[in-house]
Amino acid sequence: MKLILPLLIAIPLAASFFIIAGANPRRTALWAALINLLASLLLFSRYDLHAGGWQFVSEWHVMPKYGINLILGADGLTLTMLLLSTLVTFAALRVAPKIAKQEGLYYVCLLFISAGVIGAFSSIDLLFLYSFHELALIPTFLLIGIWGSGDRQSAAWKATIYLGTGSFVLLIGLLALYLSIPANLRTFDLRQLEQLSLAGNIHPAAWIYLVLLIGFGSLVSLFPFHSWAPPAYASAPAPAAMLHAGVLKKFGLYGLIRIALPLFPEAMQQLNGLLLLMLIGNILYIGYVTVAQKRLDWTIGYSSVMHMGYIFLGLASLNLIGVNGASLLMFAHGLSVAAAFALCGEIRQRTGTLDYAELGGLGKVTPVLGLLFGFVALASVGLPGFANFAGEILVLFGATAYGPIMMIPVVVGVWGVVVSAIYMLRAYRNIFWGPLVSRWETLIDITPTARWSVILLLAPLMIAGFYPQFILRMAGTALHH
Amino acid sequence: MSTVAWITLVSPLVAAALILLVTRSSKPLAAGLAILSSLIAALGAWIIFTRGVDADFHGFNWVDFGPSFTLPFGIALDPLSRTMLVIVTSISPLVFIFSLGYMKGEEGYCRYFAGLALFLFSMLGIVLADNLVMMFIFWELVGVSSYILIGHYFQKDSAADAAKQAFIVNRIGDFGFMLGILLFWIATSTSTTAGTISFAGLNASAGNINPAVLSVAVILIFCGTVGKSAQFPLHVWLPNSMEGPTPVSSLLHAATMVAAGVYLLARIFPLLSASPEAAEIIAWTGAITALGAGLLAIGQDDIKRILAYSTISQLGYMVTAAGLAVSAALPMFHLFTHAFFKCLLFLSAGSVILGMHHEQDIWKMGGLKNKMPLTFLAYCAGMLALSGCPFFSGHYSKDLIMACAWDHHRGVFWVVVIAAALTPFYMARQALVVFFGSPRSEAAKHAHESPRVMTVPLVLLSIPAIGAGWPFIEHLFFHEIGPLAEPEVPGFVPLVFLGAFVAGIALALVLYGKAVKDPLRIPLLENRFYIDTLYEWIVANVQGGFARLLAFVDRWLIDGVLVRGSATIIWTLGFALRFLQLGNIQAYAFFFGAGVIALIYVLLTVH
Amino acid sequence: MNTLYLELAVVLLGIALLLADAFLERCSKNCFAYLGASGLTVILLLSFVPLHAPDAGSADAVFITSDFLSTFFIRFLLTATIVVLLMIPGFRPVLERFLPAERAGGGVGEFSILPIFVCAGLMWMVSAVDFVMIFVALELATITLYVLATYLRQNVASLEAGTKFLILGALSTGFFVYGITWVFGVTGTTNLITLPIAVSQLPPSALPPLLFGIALILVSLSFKIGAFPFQFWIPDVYQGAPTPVTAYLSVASKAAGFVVLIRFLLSLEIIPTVAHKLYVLVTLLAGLTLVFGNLSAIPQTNMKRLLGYSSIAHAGYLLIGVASLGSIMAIPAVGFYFAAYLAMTLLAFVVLMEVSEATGGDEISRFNGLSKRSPLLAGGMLLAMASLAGIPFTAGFIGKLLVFEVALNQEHFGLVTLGIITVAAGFYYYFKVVRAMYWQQPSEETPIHVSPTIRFLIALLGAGILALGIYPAPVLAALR
Repeated sequence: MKLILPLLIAIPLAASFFIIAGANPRRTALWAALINLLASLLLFSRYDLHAGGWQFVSEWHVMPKYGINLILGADGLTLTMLLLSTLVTFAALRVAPKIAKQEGLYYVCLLFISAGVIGAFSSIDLLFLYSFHELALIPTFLLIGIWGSGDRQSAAWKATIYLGTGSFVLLIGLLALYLSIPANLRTFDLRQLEQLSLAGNIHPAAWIYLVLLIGFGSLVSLFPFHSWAPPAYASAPAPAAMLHAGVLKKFGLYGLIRIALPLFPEAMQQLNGLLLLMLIGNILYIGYVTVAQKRLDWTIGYSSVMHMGYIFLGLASLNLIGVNGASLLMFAHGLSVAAAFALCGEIRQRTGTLDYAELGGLGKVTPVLGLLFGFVALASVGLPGFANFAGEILVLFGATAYGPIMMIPVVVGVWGVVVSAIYMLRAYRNIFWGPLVSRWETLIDITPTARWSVILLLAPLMIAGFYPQFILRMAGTALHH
Repeated sequence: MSTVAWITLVSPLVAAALILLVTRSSKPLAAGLAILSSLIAALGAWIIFTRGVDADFHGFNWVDFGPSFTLPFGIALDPLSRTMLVIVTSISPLVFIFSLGYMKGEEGYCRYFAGLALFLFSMLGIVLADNLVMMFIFWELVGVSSYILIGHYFQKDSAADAAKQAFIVNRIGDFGFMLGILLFWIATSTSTTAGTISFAGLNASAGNINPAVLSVAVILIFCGTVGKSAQFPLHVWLPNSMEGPTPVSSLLHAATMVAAGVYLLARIFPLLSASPEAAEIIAWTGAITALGAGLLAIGQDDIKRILAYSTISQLGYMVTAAGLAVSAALPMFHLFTHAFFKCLLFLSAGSVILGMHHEQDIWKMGGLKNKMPLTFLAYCAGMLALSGCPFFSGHYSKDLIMACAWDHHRGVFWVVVIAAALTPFYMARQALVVFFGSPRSEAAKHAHESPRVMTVPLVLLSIPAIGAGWPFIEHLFFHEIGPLAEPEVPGFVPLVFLGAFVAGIALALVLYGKAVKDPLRIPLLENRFYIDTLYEWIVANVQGGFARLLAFVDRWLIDGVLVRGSATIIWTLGFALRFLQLGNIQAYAFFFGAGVIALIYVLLTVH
Repeated sequence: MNTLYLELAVVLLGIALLLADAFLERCSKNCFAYLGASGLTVILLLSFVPLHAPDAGSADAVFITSDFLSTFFIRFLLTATIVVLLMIPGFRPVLERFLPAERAGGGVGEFSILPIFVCAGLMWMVSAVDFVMIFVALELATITLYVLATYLRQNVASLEAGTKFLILGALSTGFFVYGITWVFGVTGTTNLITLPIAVSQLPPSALPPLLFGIALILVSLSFKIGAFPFQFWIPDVYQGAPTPVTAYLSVASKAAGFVVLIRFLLSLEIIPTVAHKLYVLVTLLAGLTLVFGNLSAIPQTNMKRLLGYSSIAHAGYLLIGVASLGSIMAIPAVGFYFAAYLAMTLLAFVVLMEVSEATGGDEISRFNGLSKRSPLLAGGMLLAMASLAGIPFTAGFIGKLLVFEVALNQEHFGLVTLGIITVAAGFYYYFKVVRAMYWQQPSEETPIHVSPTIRFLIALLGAGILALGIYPAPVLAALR
């Protein structure tokens, strides 16, 4: 059992080496993703809820003198994120179109991103948690730069330098945290860190939390560190956008849940006002910026930035309800935004444009595509029946429970639901409804491959929507302190 | 009994899912499933009603963090929900069957029936919900099913826009609803016990909540009603929703869905009656809506839009009735009668429209009473009931409301009485223009009666439309919900009601008896008080402008100045530094020397 | 095995090869590179035979130490030299183009033998503990390097580079000697072991002249390691000199300079006032070097110059480590950073040499579409660039990690902040190369042929980068 975690990381890497060695890129990649998906499902089902805590732990010494070791392990939250990662990876690889130039490199890049996020989520050692995440940096640079669309070059540059710098800030924060521990106890092992903090042996300064918040925040496009995200997602090829917005972006939030919540209780209290200000920026400000968008890819890009605000709201509420809601929302948003970008790519392939002014009435010629997009749109506006709603409502309850200071964020949050309805329904209406624009009369409907990939993403979304406990009881195991 | 309840609730959902997944191709199967599910629901509902059990069936915990926080998912059976259940499930099958004829040969046939089934499921959810969150969930689902059904002809711009508008306007109402839920939850939670969101718990704790908080919370919840029941100022979506197929207008936008708001008020009635301020506001909102919508109905020429405004007006009555805080039964009684006759009116309008080959302008009709006798009779039944003609259902419920208004709130009383005079006027206007006189278009000349599958439901609905208000029925359905005693009013008050009815009819006869075109054209009314125009302006300019402004800031300030700006500074510095690299050895030697001096200086001076 | 013997072995190897080159006519000119490389490999292996410190009082104990620092850097230098020697056969076409050909392959032999002497000199330098010794070693190394830098006699650029190197180098040497004399004058010793005692007994009045001497020594060391403002020679010389020599300059001689700097600073820690001044100064140098190196690398279009500036930038990062010598982790950090620096820089130079030979130029634009012409070269360069930029799972990342760890430990928050900016800049200019290789279209599609030796080198260095990046423990163990 415990071998499965390392395998989850190794399989995509191995697959990419086979591809470099000349195996059929698409088939190899798909098999690797499928195996990973099944493996993560197995782990998900085998996790012992009663025991809770870290399970399937395996450990290799790397720099023992520095307290740095490769430790892989999983609790419920990890497994939820792993499930998300493998689901999105498989779907993303499946919707990948026919690649004309350097097909191998394309799939290698995707597999590296996948391996990176899986590694990041399953690392108990903070340094490896960080390092695995960085595996995605160069692949993203290449994917956007080579196969992107629109203003791909500047988008790739901005995203890469922004994320690179952001994660370096994060590294500084982690080092500062590490050094704030008494010299004889220094470690990057989360488990030990939590015990130390429970035992009151470490009191990291508030500024360290701020550095971490900025570092993680710029990876999650926390306002005002968001401006890399929309252009990158707009230009990235659909699978890259799916992986990046769906999974990779959740890393920052995951990190905050793992590090900030247990180790910086006081600091989070002190600086909560700041965080609230930022996340109001995400919800309200970005929400209205999204309303002003005139293209589908930008709309989805900005909306994914906006929804981060709700997850941060859940974190900021610092209680069981809110943080659980945030975890559920991470899972839900990952699936829904991935599906959105998948369909976005399908439309772009057919029409070559995502400009609302040029589209219209596609629902007549591509009914299934329209139906699926309708589901995705309703999911992202937080309609009951999708996990997004469950997550948002929990976040709101959690925030309300935090106290009067949360009044404004809560009101903003509830209003944000209206705003998201405004732009998502407008997108749907402008693309699929209204009279059919004559030049699209010959469009063909979504292919079965893509259709089932999207359904693969929507199904768990609705299961978790009808019965959120299915995710909550897993994710909750991370939050017993 | 719980199994019956669950089956009643779930069967439409199953139908919807099956239609969506399995039978997207076969039309008869889709329709059959939908109708079957509605019949099952109806059967279940009547069983539950006749058994008359009061019970809360706990289903499962939708969210469960132990004692600290749970969101249960359960069914509450009490007189209120039982009656509502009967109303909804008795009308639905008729409309479903009626649709068989009306939607014949339309495209998206299966989508349509899937939508209907989904709607029925959501509506039943609202009726059976035992707590606010669960009701909110189904509230939203009702909203989306209405979105799907209004946008059925999504190729039409008008339909697409109407659907979008309906959804968003309802969302604005739900904004308040959600906040209300949160406020109630936090208001009822103490240091030891978690807050409650179940109706039972809340209604019990009405006394313990700080009155100010209570009023605010009730008003916030009431926002949900304002949106869903199309009260002023959020009424704009309902007339536009007439873009949907007529059976949909009849079921959702007249009989049941829009009444959900009233049902919500009846659900939280103890809380409402515990906060007079909130009740006052609610009563006035309803009265104003009743009057305003009544006026607007006069200015309309579209057969369905007239009915739509009359629906808004009648909903206004119900909300007022709730706001009078007399008894939960008062609004429910009018809801009950209204459901039947308004549904009937819409279905007959649908039959007319079909007979007229989808012509909806009443001035293109005329003299249809001979061509479509059955439809005509059914229509008259509905119209008289709506106008409050004695011995027709509407008469009983509406007059009761007005009597209570006289008793409790004189100001509101006069407003609703004027509205009561308007009702017969615009209804008679419609009846005269559509069915009497001579045909005013080719379509009218060749109009034909609708098929059985449509006329039979009309006939069946006419019966409750006429009789639903009779005292023994009232007693049968409402005595458990709350007292409905006729208040003591001076003798002239009933005469006022009768006068209002007669005056309305008479005026209509005078004006429209022989009219071939509308004798009174009032721009203010035809343009709906310019409210829609105002909203469009706000959306386009205020919201749009705000959004564009922020987008500009994001693009040029945050990204342009802060991000790209700093990058440019670094780049420029690098570029500038390059000029130190002169390339000739003398310069380097010079820098070298300067470095030596600087270094010595630093080392000797630093402390 | 005492370090002294290792150095002697290297010198003997060099002489033997020179004789062979002079007398064995038939022997192909490439063989000297391979012979030298294999010889040095043997010596490298010998260095792992457990050392016993020279018995106190014996002649070499005064001049030479065999502490872990010298051992580590001797191995480091040997490895660097081996790699450079293996590069030379690949460089041979250029050599023959620019050498007067009175006889085929003339001068190729010497070109592949001289580095061995440089190596010997630098080895002495890193194990020397007496300024006299250091000076002699330094001269042996630098004079040979002058020759190597100007080796392409018929290439103007190479000559110009050599001249600049020579003049400025001579200048710095002058300052070095002058500084030593001042220090000797004040303390009466040139020995780094006895220096602390001597210094500690000085009257305060004697401090200024001592500091003056120290300053002059620091000047020449800064020149050696390419710290601002003594780095101006680097871009020009790097661009002009033959690629293998550039590689050697940027790795080996820089390392030796750093070792001497570290030994010098440590010997002066005894008096806090002086130590404090010195650390302030080094911090200043570090900051300036960081900023200058990284920022002026941004607009570069020539790969060799870019690597030149990047070597300045990395000198900056290394100086951060030196400025934090107060932490016990500092020397391991610097040592490891060098190990990483060796692998990634040499890999970059190897690929650069191949590419410029295939395309006839050093501009970054020559790398356009390399991924299509030779995935191996592109992959190698990608790895080198990732490591130089400090991406995890490469040696460069661990290097940066350790350096910034000690910097934070010593609370050099200013340097850390500068570090964030410069790392961002680094992403930009290193990824410019990646962009050229992967985004751009190649001018011609013909695949580039890569010789087995070069393949081996790329594989070796690439493996090194990954190994150090994933499992750094052994190297760190060698540094304690």
